[in-house]
Amino acid sequence: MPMDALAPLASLSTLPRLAPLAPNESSAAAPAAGGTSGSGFGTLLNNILDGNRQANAAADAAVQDLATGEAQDLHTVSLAIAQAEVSFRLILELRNRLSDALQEVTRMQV
Amino acid sequence: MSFNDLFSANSISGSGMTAESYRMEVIANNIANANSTRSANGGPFRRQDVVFAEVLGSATRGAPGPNFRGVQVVDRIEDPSELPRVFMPGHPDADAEGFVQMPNVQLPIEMVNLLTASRAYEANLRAAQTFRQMSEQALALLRG
Repeated sequence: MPMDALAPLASLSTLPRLAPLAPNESSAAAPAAGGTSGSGFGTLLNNILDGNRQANAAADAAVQDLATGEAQDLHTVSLAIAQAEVSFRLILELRNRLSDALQEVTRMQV
Repeated sequence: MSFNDLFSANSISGSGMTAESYRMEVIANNIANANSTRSANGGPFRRQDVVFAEVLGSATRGAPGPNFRGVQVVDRIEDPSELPRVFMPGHPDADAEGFVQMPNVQLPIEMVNLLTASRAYEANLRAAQTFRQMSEQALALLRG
């Protein structure tokens, strides 16, 4: 009895039904995201956030070097902080624009 | 091109400032040792100078050819010019005739070099500031 129940399940799982769905979806999303290979807007945003995280980590390391006395010169520290700040504000402005757009959409009359 | 390459002008100016501050260190060392008659190589101190080199990245960005990565200190050289001999018989480093070899550091020259290094540092600083202002103005485009 359990063997009979398992057999159709196994044959179902080997059916290549779900496999073509994923490529179809990504290929449909790729042109919408501006032709970046197989990445949606979310991954795009994640990449930018990752860049900001790197800049932030560099700034943190620079400040830590300054505090521990390992920093060789001041301008490296201030430049790292300035870069982190500018990149953060870029992301902040992007987020603000996005949420503004979203609010605009939610206010839309149907 | 990664996200942080948007701010590569920042790091280029930073490398310039690092190089110039190293040059300032070398000049300060020259001034400090203007009267040192003993050095690590034996003999009096010799005036030192720095050699800078352009740094290029491999990735192309917009224009063809390698992109810019700033400047780098590649070497510190010693000035081979003649050492002045001063008559100081009482000096412990004096030779048999009573002459002491002094460093070939000339303070006016060092002062001018210091001024040049300081101005070059300032120029790099101004470039970084201007880049930052430009980025902020570009960010203002996003503001509603």
